[in-house]
Amino acid sequence: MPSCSPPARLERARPLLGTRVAVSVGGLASAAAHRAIDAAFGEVARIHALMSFHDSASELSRLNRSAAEGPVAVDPLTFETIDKALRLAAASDGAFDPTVGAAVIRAGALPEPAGAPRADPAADWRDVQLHPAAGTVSFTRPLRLDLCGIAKGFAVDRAVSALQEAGAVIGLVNAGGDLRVFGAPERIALRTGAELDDVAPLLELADGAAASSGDLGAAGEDPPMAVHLAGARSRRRRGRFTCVAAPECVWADGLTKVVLARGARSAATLRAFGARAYVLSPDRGWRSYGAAA
Amino acid sequence: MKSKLLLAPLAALSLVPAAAQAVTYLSTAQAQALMCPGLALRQDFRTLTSEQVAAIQRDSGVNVLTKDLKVWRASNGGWFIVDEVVGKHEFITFALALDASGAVRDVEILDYRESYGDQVRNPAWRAQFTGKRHGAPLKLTGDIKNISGATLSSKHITDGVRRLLATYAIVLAPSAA
Repeated sequence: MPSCSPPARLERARPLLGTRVAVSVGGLASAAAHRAIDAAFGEVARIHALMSFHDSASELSRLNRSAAEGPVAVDPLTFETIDKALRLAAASDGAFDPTVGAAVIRAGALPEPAGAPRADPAADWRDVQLHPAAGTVSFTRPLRLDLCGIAKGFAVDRAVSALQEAGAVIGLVNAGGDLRVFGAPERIALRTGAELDDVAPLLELADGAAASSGDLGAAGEDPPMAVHLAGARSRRRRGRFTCVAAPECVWADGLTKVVLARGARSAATLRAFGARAYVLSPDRGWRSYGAAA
Repeated sequence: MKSKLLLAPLAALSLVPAAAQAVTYLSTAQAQALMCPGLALRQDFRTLTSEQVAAIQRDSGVNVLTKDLKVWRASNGGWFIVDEVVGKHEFITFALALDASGAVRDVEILDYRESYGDQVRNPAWRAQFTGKRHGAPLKLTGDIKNISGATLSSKHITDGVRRLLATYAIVLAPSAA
Protein backbone atom coordinates (compact mmCIF):
# COMPACT_ATOMS: atom_id res chain seq x y z
CA MET A 1 0.00 0.00 0.00
CA PRO A 2 1.23 3.52 -0.68
CA SER A 3 2.53 5.19 2.43
CA CYS A 4 1.11 8.63 1.67
CA SER A 5 -2.09 9.39 3.55
CA PRO A 6 -5.16 9.98 1.40
CA PRO A 7 -6.75 13.42 1.28
CA ALA A 8 -9.55 14.19 3.71
CA ARG A 9 -12.50 11.86 3.23
CA LEU A 10 -16.13 12.65 3.62
CA GLU A 11 -18.45 9.77 4.46
CA ARG A 12 -22.20 9.44 4.92
CA ALA A 13 -24.65 6.57 5.34
CA ARG A 14 -28.34 5.93 4.73
CA PRO A 15 -30.66 2.99 5.26
CA LEU A 16 -31.26 1.62 1.74
CA LEU A 17 -31.64 -1.82 0.12
CA GLY A 18 -32.58 -3.20 3.53
CA THR A 19 -29.14 -2.43 4.92
CA ARG A 20 -26.76 0.40 5.72
CA VAL A 21 -25.28 1.98 2.60
CA ALA A 22 -22.14 4.02 3.31
CA VAL A 23 -20.54 6.27 0.69
CA SER A 24 -17.21 8.01 1.09
CA VAL A 25 -15.26 10.27 -1.27
CA GLY A 26 -11.89 11.92 -1.24
CA GLY A 27 -10.28 14.63 -3.30
CA LEU A 28 -13.33 16.89 -3.49
CA ALA A 29 -14.18 20.07 -1.62
CA SER A 30 -16.96 19.66 0.93
CA ALA A 31 -19.89 20.99 -1.14
CA ALA A 32 -18.88 19.02 -4.22
CA ALA A 33 -18.33 15.91 -2.09
CA HIS A 34 -21.84 16.17 -0.66
CA ARG A 35 -23.30 16.59 -4.15
CA ALA A 36 -21.38 13.50 -5.31
CA ILE A 37 -22.61 11.48 -2.33
CA ASP A 38 -26.20 12.68 -2.93
CA ALA A 39 -25.94 11.47 -6.54
CA ALA A 40 -24.59 8.10 -5.39
CA PHE A 41 -27.43 7.65 -2.88
CA GLY A 42 -29.86 8.68 -5.63
CA GLU A 43 -28.68 5.80 -7.85
CA VAL A 44 -29.02 3.28 -5.01
CA ALA A 45 -32.49 4.57 -4.13
CA ARG A 46 -33.58 4.26 -7.78
CA ILE A 47 -32.48 0.64 -7.95
CA HIS A 48 -34.15 -0.03 -4.62
CA ALA A 49 -37.45 1.40 -5.91
CA LEU A 50 -37.29 -0.39 -9.28
CA MET A 51 -36.23 -3.82 -8.09
CA SER A 52 -37.70 -4.35 -4.64
CA PHE A 53 -39.42 -7.72 -4.39
CA HIS A 54 -41.41 -6.57 -1.35
CA ASP A 55 -42.83 -3.42 -2.92
CA SER A 56 -45.86 -4.28 -5.05
CA ALA A 57 -45.37 -0.98 -6.93
CA SER A 58 -41.84 -1.87 -8.12
CA GLU A 59 -41.08 -2.80 -11.71
CA LEU A 60 -39.95 -6.20 -10.54
CA SER A 61 -43.36 -6.84 -8.96
CA ARG A 62 -45.02 -5.71 -12.18
CA LEU A 63 -42.93 -8.23 -14.12
CA ASN A 64 -43.87 -11.03 -11.73
CA ARG A 65 -47.55 -10.14 -12.19
CA SER A 66 -47.62 -9.59 -15.96
CA ALA A 67 -44.53 -10.73 -17.89
CA ALA A 68 -45.89 -14.27 -18.38
CA GLU A 69 -48.75 -12.74 -20.40
CA GLY A 70 -46.54 -10.72 -22.72
CA PRO A 71 -43.63 -8.27 -22.97
CA VAL A 72 -43.46 -5.58 -20.27
CA ALA A 73 -41.48 -2.37 -20.82
CA VAL A 74 -38.94 -1.69 -18.07
CA ASP A 75 -36.47 1.02 -17.07
CA PRO A 76 -33.03 0.58 -18.69
CA LEU A 77 -31.58 -0.03 -15.21
CA THR A 78 -33.95 -2.94 -14.60
CA PHE A 79 -33.21 -4.29 -18.06
CA GLU A 80 -29.46 -4.12 -17.45
CA THR A 81 -29.73 -5.85 -14.06
CA ILE A 82 -31.77 -8.71 -15.53
CA ASP A 83 -29.32 -8.94 -18.43
CA LYS A 84 -26.42 -9.29 -15.98
CA ALA A 85 -28.32 -11.84 -13.87
CA LEU A 86 -28.98 -13.98 -16.95
CA ARG A 87 -25.34 -13.63 -18.04
CA LEU A 88 -24.20 -14.98 -14.68
CA ALA A 89 -26.82 -17.75 -14.81
CA ALA A 90 -25.50 -18.83 -18.22
CA ALA A 91 -21.84 -18.59 -17.18
CA SER A 92 -22.47 -20.62 -14.02
CA ASP A 93 -24.68 -23.17 -15.76
CA GLY A 94 -27.59 -22.21 -13.54
CA ALA A 95 -25.76 -22.34 -10.20
CA PHE A 96 -26.84 -18.71 -9.99
CA ASP A 97 -30.49 -18.48 -10.98
CA PRO A 98 -32.57 -15.32 -10.44
CA THR A 99 -35.82 -17.28 -10.82
CA VAL A 100 -35.65 -19.26 -7.61
CA GLY A 101 -38.19 -16.90 -6.10
CA ALA A 102 -40.93 -19.52 -6.03
CA ALA A 103 -38.80 -21.89 -3.93
CA VAL A 104 -37.79 -19.06 -1.62
CA ILE A 105 -41.43 -18.05 -1.18
CA ARG A 106 -42.39 -21.64 -0.35
CA ALA A 107 -39.61 -21.65 2.24
CA GLY A 108 -41.18 -18.54 3.76
CA ALA A 109 -38.24 -16.20 3.15
CA LEU A 110 -40.18 -13.89 0.80
CA PRO A 111 -43.85 -12.99 0.62
CA GLU A 112 -46.05 -14.31 -2.18
CA PRO A 113 -46.63 -11.30 -4.45
CA ALA A 114 -50.27 -10.22 -4.69
CA GLY A 115 -51.97 -10.70 -8.03
CA ALA A 116 -49.21 -12.82 -9.59
CA PRO A 117 -50.04 -16.03 -11.44
CA ARG A 118 -49.04 -19.30 -9.79
CA ALA A 119 -45.35 -19.93 -10.52
CA ASP A 120 -44.47 -22.95 -12.66
CA PRO A 121 -42.14 -25.11 -10.54
CA ALA A 122 -40.30 -26.17 -13.71
CA ALA A 123 -39.45 -22.59 -14.67
CA ASP A 124 -35.84 -21.43 -14.58
CA TRP A 125 -33.68 -18.54 -15.82
CA ARG A 126 -34.02 -19.67 -19.45
CA ASP A 127 -37.69 -18.69 -19.26
CA VAL A 128 -36.76 -15.02 -18.88
CA GLN A 129 -36.64 -13.34 -22.29
CA LEU A 130 -35.07 -9.94 -22.94
CA HIS A 131 -36.05 -7.92 -26.01
CA PRO A 132 -33.32 -5.28 -26.38
CA ALA A 133 -34.82 -3.35 -29.29
CA ALA A 134 -38.10 -2.81 -27.45
CA GLY A 135 -36.59 -2.61 -23.95
CA THR A 136 -39.08 -5.20 -22.74
CA VAL A 137 -39.05 -8.39 -20.69
CA SER A 138 -41.29 -11.43 -20.97
CA PHE A 139 -41.49 -14.83 -19.27
CA THR A 140 -42.22 -18.00 -21.22
CA ARG A 141 -43.84 -19.48 -18.08
CA PRO A 142 -45.16 -17.89 -14.90
CA LEU A 143 -42.22 -17.53 -12.54
CA ARG A 144 -40.81 -15.44 -9.70
CA LEU A 145 -37.91 -13.25 -10.71
CA ASP A 146 -35.85 -12.12 -7.72
CA LEU A 147 -32.86 -9.84 -8.34
CA CYS A 148 -31.67 -9.45 -4.76
CA GLY A 149 -28.78 -11.84 -5.42
CA ILE A 150 -27.23 -9.27 -7.71
CA ALA A 151 -29.03 -5.89 -7.44
CA LYS A 152 -27.15 -4.77 -4.35
CA GLY A 153 -23.83 -5.21 -6.15
CA PHE A 154 -25.18 -3.49 -9.23
CA ALA A 155 -26.37 -0.57 -7.06
CA VAL A 156 -22.85 -0.27 -5.63
CA ASP A 157 -21.42 -0.10 -9.16
CA ARG A 158 -23.91 2.58 -10.20
CA ALA A 159 -23.14 4.59 -7.07
CA VAL A 160 -19.42 4.38 -7.86
CA SER A 161 -20.09 5.63 -11.40
CA ALA A 162 -22.11 8.53 -9.96
CA LEU A 163 -19.21 9.47 -7.68
CA GLN A 164 -16.73 9.34 -10.54
CA GLU A 165 -18.98 11.36 -12.84
CA ALA A 166 -19.19 13.96 -10.07
CA GLY A 167 -15.39 14.24 -10.10
CA ALA A 168 -14.37 12.01 -7.20
CA VAL A 169 -10.96 10.40 -7.69
CA ILE A 170 -11.03 8.38 -4.46
CA GLY A 171 -14.09 6.70 -3.08
CA LEU A 172 -15.81 3.74 -1.51
CA VAL A 173 -19.39 2.50 -1.55
CA ASN A 174 -20.39 -0.16 0.98
CA ALA A 175 -23.89 -1.64 0.91
CA GLY A 176 -23.98 -3.84 3.98
CA GLY A 177 -20.67 -5.51 3.14
CA ASP A 178 -20.97 -5.54 -0.65
CA LEU A 179 -18.48 -2.85 -1.49
CA ARG A 180 -16.27 -1.27 -4.12
CA VAL A 181 -13.24 0.99 -3.79
CA PHE A 182 -11.44 3.22 -6.28
CA GLY A 183 -8.46 5.54 -6.22
CA ALA A 184 -6.92 4.28 -2.99
CA PRO A 185 -6.58 0.74 -1.63
CA GLU A 186 -8.56 -0.27 1.44
CA ARG A 187 -8.27 -3.00 4.03
CA ILE A 188 -11.58 -4.65 4.78
CA ALA A 189 -12.30 -6.78 7.81
CA LEU A 190 -14.02 -10.06 6.91
CA ARG A 191 -16.76 -11.05 9.33
CA THR A 192 -16.68 -14.80 8.94
CA GLY A 193 -18.78 -15.61 11.99
CA ALA A 194 -16.03 -17.93 13.18
CA GLU A 195 -14.63 -17.43 16.59
CA LEU A 196 -11.16 -16.08 16.15
CA ASP A 197 -8.04 -17.75 17.43
CA ASP A 198 -5.11 -15.48 17.02
CA VAL A 199 -5.61 -13.94 13.61
CA ALA A 200 -8.17 -11.66 11.96
CA PRO A 201 -8.84 -11.96 8.21
CA LEU A 202 -8.43 -8.75 6.24
CA LEU A 203 -8.90 -8.27 2.53
CA GLU A 204 -6.63 -5.75 0.91
CA LEU A 205 -8.46 -4.38 -2.09
CA ALA A 206 -7.51 -1.84 -4.78
CA ASP A 207 -9.76 -0.58 -7.58
CA GLY A 208 -12.20 -3.41 -7.22
CA ALA A 209 -15.16 -4.84 -5.38
CA ALA A 210 -15.83 -7.50 -2.76
CA ALA A 211 -18.89 -9.27 -1.45
CA SER A 212 -19.32 -11.99 1.15
CA SER A 213 -21.81 -14.72 1.90
CA GLY A 214 -22.17 -17.47 4.40
CA ASP A 215 -21.46 -17.54 8.05
CA LEU A 216 -19.55 -19.98 10.18
CA GLY A 217 -21.33 -18.84 13.32
CA ALA A 218 -24.38 -20.68 14.55
CA ALA A 219 -26.23 -17.48 15.33
CA GLY A 220 -26.28 -13.99 13.98
CA GLU A 221 -28.02 -14.32 10.64
CA ASP A 222 -30.55 -11.60 10.18
CA PRO A 223 -33.55 -12.15 7.92
CA PRO A 224 -31.97 -10.58 4.79
CA MET A 225 -29.44 -13.40 4.80
CA ALA A 226 -32.05 -15.84 3.57
CA VAL A 227 -32.91 -13.43 0.79
CA HIS A 228 -29.25 -12.84 0.13
CA LEU A 229 -28.85 -16.50 -0.72
CA ALA A 230 -31.84 -16.55 -2.98
CA GLY A 231 -29.66 -16.51 -6.07
CA ALA A 232 -28.25 -19.97 -5.46
CA ARG A 233 -30.36 -22.80 -6.81
CA SER A 234 -28.26 -25.48 -5.20
CA ARG A 235 -28.56 -25.80 -1.49
CA ARG A 236 -25.74 -23.86 0.01
CA ARG A 237 -23.04 -25.62 1.91
CA ARG A 238 -23.29 -24.89 5.56
CA GLY A 239 -20.32 -23.88 7.60
CA ARG A 240 -18.51 -22.03 4.89
CA PHE A 241 -17.65 -18.36 4.46
CA THR A 242 -17.00 -16.94 1.02
CA CYS A 243 -15.66 -13.57 -0.02
CA VAL A 244 -15.38 -12.83 -3.74
CA ALA A 245 -13.23 -9.99 -5.08
CA ALA A 246 -14.03 -8.82 -8.61
CA PRO A 247 -13.53 -5.71 -10.76
CA GLU A 248 -17.25 -4.89 -10.46
CA CYS A 249 -19.47 -5.38 -7.43
CA VAL A 250 -22.35 -6.87 -9.42
CA TRP A 251 -20.15 -9.89 -10.21
CA ALA A 252 -18.67 -10.07 -6.71
CA ASP A 253 -22.21 -10.14 -5.29
CA GLY A 254 -23.58 -12.74 -7.71
CA LEU A 255 -20.50 -14.95 -7.67
CA THR A 256 -20.57 -15.44 -3.89
CA LYS A 257 -23.71 -17.55 -4.45
CA VAL A 258 -21.98 -19.57 -7.18
CA VAL A 259 -18.99 -20.25 -4.95
CA LEU A 260 -21.21 -21.26 -2.01
CA ALA A 261 -23.00 -23.72 -4.27
CA ARG A 262 -20.02 -25.05 -6.24
CA GLY A 263 -16.92 -24.57 -4.14
CA ALA A 264 -13.65 -24.96 -6.04
CA ARG A 265 -15.57 -26.12 -9.13
CA SER A 266 -16.53 -22.47 -9.62
CA ALA A 267 -12.93 -21.48 -10.45
CA ALA A 268 -13.54 -21.26 -14.22
CA THR A 269 -16.65 -19.12 -13.73
CA LEU A 270 -14.69 -16.85 -11.40
CA ARG A 271 -11.92 -16.47 -13.97
CA ALA A 272 -14.46 -15.54 -16.68
CA PHE A 273 -15.36 -12.47 -14.60
CA GLY A 274 -11.81 -11.66 -13.47
CA ALA A 275 -12.82 -12.63 -9.94
CA ARG A 276 -11.10 -14.44 -7.07
CA ALA A 277 -12.72 -16.22 -4.15
CA TYR A 278 -11.43 -16.44 -0.58
CA VAL A 279 -13.15 -19.30 1.19
CA LEU A 280 -12.97 -20.32 4.84
CA SER A 281 -14.20 -23.71 6.00
CA PRO A 282 -13.63 -25.11 9.48
CA ASP A 283 -11.91 -28.27 8.27
CA ARG A 284 -9.72 -26.88 5.50
CA GLY A 285 -9.01 -23.32 6.66
CA TRP A 286 -8.57 -20.57 4.07
CA ARG A 287 -8.42 -21.41 0.39
CA SER A 288 -8.40 -19.15 -2.62
CA TYR A 289 -9.17 -19.75 -6.29
CA GLY A 290 -10.20 -18.00 -9.49
CA ALA A 291 -8.44 -15.24 -11.41
CA ALA A 292 -4.95 -14.17 -10.38
CA ALA A 293 -5.08 -11.76 -7.45
CA MET B 1 -8.45 -4.87 -9.48
CA LYS B 2 -6.01 -6.20 -6.92
CA SER B 3 -6.94 -8.28 -3.93
CA LYS B 4 -4.99 -10.04 -1.21
CA LEU B 5 -5.98 -11.87 1.95
CA LEU B 6 -4.07 -10.91 5.05
CA LEU B 7 -4.28 -12.82 8.28
CA ALA B 8 -3.39 -10.19 10.82
CA PRO B 9 -2.17 -11.21 14.27
CA LEU B 10 -4.72 -10.11 16.82
CA ALA B 11 -1.95 -8.65 18.91
CA ALA B 12 -1.34 -6.02 16.22
CA LEU B 13 -4.21 -3.99 17.52
CA SER B 14 -3.67 -1.11 15.16
CA LEU B 15 -4.51 -3.42 12.27
CA VAL B 16 -7.35 -5.26 13.87
CA PRO B 17 -10.90 -4.07 14.14
CA ALA B 18 -11.83 -3.69 17.75
CA ALA B 19 -14.79 -5.47 19.29
CA ALA B 20 -16.99 -2.66 18.11
CA GLN B 21 -16.86 -0.58 14.99
CA ALA B 22 -17.82 3.01 15.66
CA VAL B 23 -18.30 5.52 12.89
CA THR B 24 -19.54 9.07 13.13
CA TYR B 25 -20.79 10.17 9.73
CA LEU B 26 -22.34 13.51 10.60
CA SER B 27 -22.73 15.70 13.66
CA THR B 28 -26.21 16.97 14.46
CA ALA B 29 -25.27 20.42 13.15
CA GLN B 30 -23.86 18.96 9.91
CA ALA B 31 -26.98 16.87 9.38
CA GLN B 32 -29.17 19.94 9.95
CA ALA B 33 -27.25 21.96 7.37
CA LEU B 34 -27.40 19.10 4.89
CA MET B 35 -31.00 17.99 5.36
CA CYS B 36 -32.62 21.39 5.95
CA PRO B 37 -30.53 23.66 3.70
CA GLY B 38 -31.21 27.37 4.05
CA LEU B 39 -33.74 26.86 6.85
CA ALA B 40 -33.63 28.26 10.37
CA LEU B 41 -34.13 25.56 12.99
CA ARG B 42 -35.55 26.23 16.44
CA GLN B 43 -34.95 23.63 19.14
CA ASP B 44 -38.28 22.31 20.41
CA PHE B 45 -37.39 19.32 22.62
CA ARG B 46 -40.36 17.49 24.12
CA THR B 47 -40.93 14.98 26.87
CA LEU B 48 -43.52 12.42 25.87
CA THR B 49 -46.30 11.66 28.33
CA SER B 50 -47.11 8.07 29.22
CA GLU B 51 -50.32 8.39 27.19
CA GLN B 52 -48.36 9.58 24.15
CA VAL B 53 -45.84 6.73 24.51
CA ALA B 54 -48.69 4.21 24.66
CA ALA B 55 -50.37 5.75 21.61
CA ILE B 56 -47.12 5.79 19.59
CA GLN B 57 -46.44 2.15 20.46
CA ARG B 58 -49.98 1.18 19.51
CA ASP B 59 -49.85 3.12 16.25
CA SER B 60 -46.36 2.03 15.10
CA GLY B 61 -46.01 -1.38 16.70
CA VAL B 62 -42.54 -0.32 17.84
CA ASN B 63 -41.38 0.12 21.44
CA VAL B 64 -40.51 3.64 22.57
CA LEU B 65 -37.14 3.52 24.32
CA THR B 66 -37.03 7.07 25.65
CA LYS B 67 -39.55 9.77 26.47
CA ASP B 68 -37.11 12.45 25.33
CA LEU B 69 -37.88 13.68 21.85
CA LYS B 70 -35.03 15.64 20.26
CA VAL B 71 -36.90 17.73 17.74
CA TRP B 72 -36.31 21.03 15.93
CA ARG B 73 -38.90 23.13 14.08
CA ALA B 74 -37.83 24.37 10.65
CA SER B 75 -38.71 27.84 9.37
CA ASN B 76 -40.71 26.32 6.50
CA GLY B 77 -42.94 24.38 8.90
CA GLY B 78 -40.95 21.14 8.58
CA TRP B 79 -39.26 19.17 11.35
CA PHE B 80 -35.84 17.73 12.11
CA ILE B 81 -35.58 14.87 14.62
CA VAL B 82 -32.56 13.04 16.02
CA ASP B 83 -33.25 9.59 17.41
CA GLU B 84 -31.61 6.27 18.26
CA VAL B 85 -32.29 2.63 17.53
CA VAL B 86 -30.73 -0.48 19.02
CA GLY B 87 -30.34 -3.57 16.87
CA LYS B 88 -29.06 -7.03 17.64
CA HIS B 89 -25.48 -6.03 16.95
CA GLU B 90 -25.67 -2.33 16.37
CA PHE B 91 -26.49 0.99 17.98
CA ILE B 92 -27.47 3.71 15.56
CA THR B 93 -28.16 7.42 15.85
CA PHE B 94 -30.08 8.76 12.90
CA ALA B 95 -31.72 11.99 11.74
CA LEU B 96 -35.08 12.35 10.07
CA ALA B 97 -36.23 15.43 8.15
CA LEU B 98 -39.97 15.90 7.61
CA ASP B 99 -41.61 18.50 5.38
CA ALA B 100 -44.45 20.71 6.60
CA SER B 101 -46.98 18.00 5.77
CA GLY B 102 -45.13 15.40 7.83
CA ALA B 103 -43.76 13.47 4.83
CA VAL B 104 -40.22 12.05 4.99
CA ARG B 105 -37.68 14.22 3.16
CA ASP B 106 -34.49 12.43 4.15
CA VAL B 107 -32.98 9.92 6.53
CA GLU B 108 -29.26 10.03 7.36
CA ILE B 109 -27.27 7.87 9.76
CA LEU B 110 -25.25 10.03 12.16
CA ASP B 111 -23.47 7.45 14.34
CA TYR B 112 -23.09 3.75 13.82
CA ARG B 113 -21.68 1.33 16.32
CA GLU B 114 -21.53 -2.30 15.29
CA SER B 115 -20.31 -5.21 17.35
CA TYR B 116 -18.82 -8.33 15.92
CA GLY B 117 -21.57 -10.49 17.30
CA ASP B 118 -20.24 -13.94 18.02
CA GLN B 119 -16.67 -12.84 18.17
CA VAL B 120 -17.22 -10.63 21.17
CA ARG B 121 -18.42 -13.66 23.15
CA ASN B 122 -15.04 -15.28 22.77
CA PRO B 123 -13.07 -14.69 26.00
CA ALA B 124 -9.73 -14.70 24.17
CA TRP B 125 -11.04 -12.10 21.77
CA ARG B 126 -12.39 -9.95 24.57
CA ALA B 127 -9.21 -10.27 26.57
CA GLN B 128 -7.44 -8.30 23.86
CA PHE B 129 -9.31 -5.25 25.02
CA THR B 130 -9.15 -5.72 28.77
CA GLY B 131 -8.16 -2.47 30.38
CA LYS B 132 -9.14 -0.51 27.32
CA ARG B 133 -12.77 -0.22 28.23
CA HIS B 134 -12.52 2.72 30.58
CA GLY B 135 -11.17 6.13 29.70
CA ALA B 136 -10.02 4.99 26.28
CA PRO B 137 -13.18 3.95 24.49
CA LEU B 138 -12.78 1.29 21.87
CA LYS B 139 -12.59 2.94 18.52
CA LEU B 140 -11.76 1.66 15.13
CA THR B 141 -8.94 3.84 13.99
CA GLY B 142 -6.59 3.94 11.08
CA ASP B 143 -6.80 1.37 8.39
CA ILE B 144 -9.92 -0.70 8.88
CA LYS B 145 -13.21 1.07 8.33
CA ASN B 146 -15.24 -1.45 6.40
CA ILE B 147 -16.52 -4.91 7.10
CA SER B 148 -17.69 -7.53 4.64
CA GLY B 149 -19.69 -10.45 5.95
CA ALA B 150 -23.18 -11.51 6.89
CA THR B 151 -25.35 -8.54 6.08
CA LEU B 152 -26.88 -6.64 8.94
CA SER B 153 -30.43 -5.55 8.39
CA SER B 154 -31.50 -1.91 8.51
CA LYS B 155 -34.92 -3.01 9.75
CA HIS B 156 -34.33 -1.26 13.08
CA ILE B 157 -33.90 2.07 11.32
CA THR B 158 -37.03 1.46 9.24
CA ASP B 159 -38.88 0.66 12.48
CA GLY B 160 -37.44 3.81 14.05
CA VAL B 161 -38.67 5.95 11.18
CA ARG B 162 -42.13 4.40 11.47
CA ARG B 163 -42.15 5.14 15.20
CA LEU B 164 -41.17 8.78 14.55
CA LEU B 165 -43.89 9.17 11.93
CA ALA B 166 -46.38 7.99 14.55
CA THR B 167 -44.77 10.41 17.01
CA TYR B 168 -45.26 13.21 14.49
CA ALA B 169 -48.94 12.37 14.02
CA ILE B 170 -49.61 12.06 17.76
CA VAL B 171 -47.39 14.82 19.17
CA LEU B 172 -46.20 17.30 16.53
CA ALA B 173 -48.77 17.54 13.73
CA PRO B 174 -51.16 20.52 13.70
CA SER B 175 -54.00 18.05 14.22
CA ALA B 176 -52.35 16.58 17.34
CA ALA B 177 -54.03 17.47 20.60
